[in-house]
Amino acid sequence: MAGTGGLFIEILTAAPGHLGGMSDDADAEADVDAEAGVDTEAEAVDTTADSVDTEAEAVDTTADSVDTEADAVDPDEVRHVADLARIDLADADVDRFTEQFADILASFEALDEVPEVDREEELANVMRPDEEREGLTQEEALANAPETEDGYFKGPRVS
Amino acid sequence: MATDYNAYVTAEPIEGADDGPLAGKTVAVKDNISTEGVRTTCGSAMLDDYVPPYDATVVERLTEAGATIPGKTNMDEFGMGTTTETSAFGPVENPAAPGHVPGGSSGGSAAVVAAGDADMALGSDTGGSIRCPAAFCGVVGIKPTYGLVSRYGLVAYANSLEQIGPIAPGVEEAAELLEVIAGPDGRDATTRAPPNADAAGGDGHDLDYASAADGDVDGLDIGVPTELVAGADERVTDVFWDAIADLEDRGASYHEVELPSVEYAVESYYVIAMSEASSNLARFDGVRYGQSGGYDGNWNETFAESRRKGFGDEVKRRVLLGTYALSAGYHDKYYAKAQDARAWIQQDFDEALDEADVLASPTMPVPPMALGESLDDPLTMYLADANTTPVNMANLPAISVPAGETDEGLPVGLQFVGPAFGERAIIRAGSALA
Repeated sequence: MAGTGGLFIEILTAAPGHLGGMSDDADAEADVDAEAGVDTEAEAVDTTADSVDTEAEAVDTTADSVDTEADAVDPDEVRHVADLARIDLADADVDRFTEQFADILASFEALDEVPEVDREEELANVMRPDEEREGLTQEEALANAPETEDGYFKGPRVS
Repeated sequence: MATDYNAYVTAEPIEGADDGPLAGKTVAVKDNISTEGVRTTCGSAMLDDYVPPYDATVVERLTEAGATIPGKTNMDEFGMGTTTETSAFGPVENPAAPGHVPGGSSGGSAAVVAAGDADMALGSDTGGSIRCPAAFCGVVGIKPTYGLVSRYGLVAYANSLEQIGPIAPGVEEAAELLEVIAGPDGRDATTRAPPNADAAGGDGHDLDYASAADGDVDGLDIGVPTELVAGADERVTDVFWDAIADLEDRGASYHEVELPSVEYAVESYYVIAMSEASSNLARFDGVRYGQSGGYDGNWNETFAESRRKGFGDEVKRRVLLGTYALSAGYHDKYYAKAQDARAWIQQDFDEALDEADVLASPTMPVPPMALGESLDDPLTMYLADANTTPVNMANLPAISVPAGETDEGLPVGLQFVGPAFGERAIIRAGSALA
């Protein structure tokens, strides 16, 4: 992803499951390959070095400051999570969410009482032959895009 | 008329084949299930002009079976809600209880069935979204065993929890619709053929559920989880115990069972569902579909603008809380504990179902809320899912059937839960009441 001047995602491999076929393996490809923005976002939450550093700090701060008051969030933390989730929030939303999250996270505290439980999953891999099959045409795959250029999705500049 | 209570987002008929088991029937489809060439909004401004280029597997099976789809039904945005008031297309009113919510998130689907505007409907159930509106609207809804019905073409909210299922006026019709949509699908690797021989033909396509709707509960052993009755409103439990007494008169017996894990079901359900939602809904960035955030400036800001415009409050809340629950330092505290709770719930249900044919509880702990009553208090709305979410956490099948009405005339639903792929057991039990 690094080094691209603008975000043009090639759709030749777009699979029919690009929206809605979560369980389809082709969909998994489309969602991982084609969703440049999403990949970045997922990384931002879990692994992107920069945001994790920031986050780790935020977490430490919280842990220090709320020893007595079980994990209430402050407005800055709500803004930080909104940044990670790529959702722009108005100030009024931040205040409201801060208040609501305090209640909701306080209820989640009950999970501390849950014992460790051994999983008894009976899971088996589901495989199929890796064969070519019909996918969407380029036109179909682009039909819902707000803007396209030369057969590509058009996105904002990656900066 | 369905338009009076805002049950359809798009009323554009899709014709089915000339013959088949559902020929001549209308089956409305929830608007998070993809229909080729017909707009599929998920109740969201983000997708208000999204037109899928392909059909969901269940839609293919419906039209091949001869059903006509009269339209796409209104729903809580991306399935996130218990009242069908979070839709970007406005709330749905309950035709069976005017002035009240229809339940959610498949509120439009239950409403068109309750009003007789469609013969049957499909909903999706992530934490009760079929059973809750079925209960509130006085109709029947089935949440199938995880893996019985294909999710291909269902716009995902929380993949590990959700199933598509039928809503109908009676149990037998719901079972007939289930027969059409159930069975393995090569496009959904989480589907599988029911292992129990009495419910499945060789390849799992020859499913027989409707014949179980014979109303015969003689000898049926019902377990009643005390935790799921204790917290419920008395107006609801009065109706519930009357229905249990009715079943006893017809040869069934009941015993109380304890499921200590379900005390943690709502909290663990919301942690898991929100976490999955934060990942699933990351795809909505206004590039391949959805509201564009523009093309100027930093891409992160542009995507954040797209998502500010496209998502409503409840969706923002769940995506933010899910992001928080998965973030460094909190993952073990929330997500890992919620997975422990899920495994514990599964064990509790397995043990209880070793000693009973089915479990029974009120579907919802409260009667339908008045319109607008619960919007400002998300936590109270979440707690209303106390009896439905454990079933999704345990991957089990459940049916909600009308059990009667409160003194004020508000519908009350009774939920039967069965063992994995035990759809015939819950259909038989339910058919004694509806």
